[in-house]
Amino acid sequence: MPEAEALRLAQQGDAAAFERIYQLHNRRVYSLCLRMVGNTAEAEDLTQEAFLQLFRKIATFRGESAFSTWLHRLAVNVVLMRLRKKTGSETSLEEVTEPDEETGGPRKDFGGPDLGLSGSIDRVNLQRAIDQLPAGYKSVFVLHDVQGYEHNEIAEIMGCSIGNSKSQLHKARMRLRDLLHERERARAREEREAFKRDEAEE
Amino acid sequence: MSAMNCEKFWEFSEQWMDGERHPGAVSHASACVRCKTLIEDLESIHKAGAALAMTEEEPPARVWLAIRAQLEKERLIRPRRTGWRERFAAFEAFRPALAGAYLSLIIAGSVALGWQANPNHRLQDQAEWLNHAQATMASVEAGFTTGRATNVSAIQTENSDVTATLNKNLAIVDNMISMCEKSVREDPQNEMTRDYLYTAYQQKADLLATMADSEGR
Repeated sequence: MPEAEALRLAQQGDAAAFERIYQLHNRRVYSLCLRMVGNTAEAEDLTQEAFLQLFRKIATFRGESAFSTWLHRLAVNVVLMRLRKKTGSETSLEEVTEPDEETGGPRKDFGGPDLGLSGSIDRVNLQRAIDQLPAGYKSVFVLHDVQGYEHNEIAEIMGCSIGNSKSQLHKARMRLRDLLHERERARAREEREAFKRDEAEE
Repeated sequence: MSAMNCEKFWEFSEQWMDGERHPGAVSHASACVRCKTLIEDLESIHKAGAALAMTEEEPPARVWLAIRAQLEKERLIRPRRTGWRERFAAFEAFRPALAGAYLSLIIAGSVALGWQANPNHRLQDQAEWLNHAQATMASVEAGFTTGRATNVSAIQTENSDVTATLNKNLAIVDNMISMCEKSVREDPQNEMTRDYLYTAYQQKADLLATMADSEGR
């Protein structure tokens, strides 16, 4: 069943059409939730909530925007609401977090590392670093670099300007770089200490 | 052409990553190791992010089950009538994912559940079907528990987070099974409740197999 047909039938309450829509989009929504919260149980819960909200509102979908954009805007909002609930922040949905250096923004350290990250970024390290990003940075990074959305689509999903999306993405990457370097330094320190301990034991 | 210093280059790095190449920035990047490294790092992060998308995962079947149950509760969808043949086809597809030691038990489960697929048995044996299915699921679980007892301590230390999540999910499915069994007892001829119960059993077998797999590693 093509998506357009599934949409039409779902708007009439057809169970098979709902299931078809779920099958078409569940991987993308679940992956988005998983990348955003880094926890499978919570990602399942958020996926469930996003699709429930979608199906409750599906009769109002008029096709002004692409269906997938509509669904992803909804899913991102569900995730952001949850993250906001967790952190107790009172920011509005439209507001994209602009953290300063003390609250998680990138450091402007021009004398920073000259040893590159290339080769040291594996999935686990990157996901851990993403988990540490503020919600706004995280959303834009996951949508753009992981899920492949363009800035105009992200602007629509997040309710911000294209320039804001670009700026947030850059800050997110810079912050990720700091976090990945910190992890590399910690790992090197641990290795040195382990080496020293081994030497002392010998 | 004005020379660019590191501070200016960092300000320009956002446009650089967006594909813009200011001659001063190109010149600076070719001469400054730190700024060249910055760009290489940002490109590596961008590529690593894209690689995460390659590993898109599918949510477990229980997510759809819960969504559908809620939609029906809210009367947002019309109940779907499907044949047993379709449901058993799904069960067949599920088989390869099962851990070897439990496969025979699960197949026994499918035979028991298949009892009611036979139209000759349908009306007179509704209650018996439920008893049969419950007994088979109990034996599947007993088989799992026996196998599990041998290495449970190792799992608790090595993989406690995963085990805790699986146990939590198992509790959710068990709760769903209890509710479905109650509904089937109250209305044995309601195909929808039996469909839910069947899917819940399937979920439980799926979870037990996942636990068996995770403990076998």
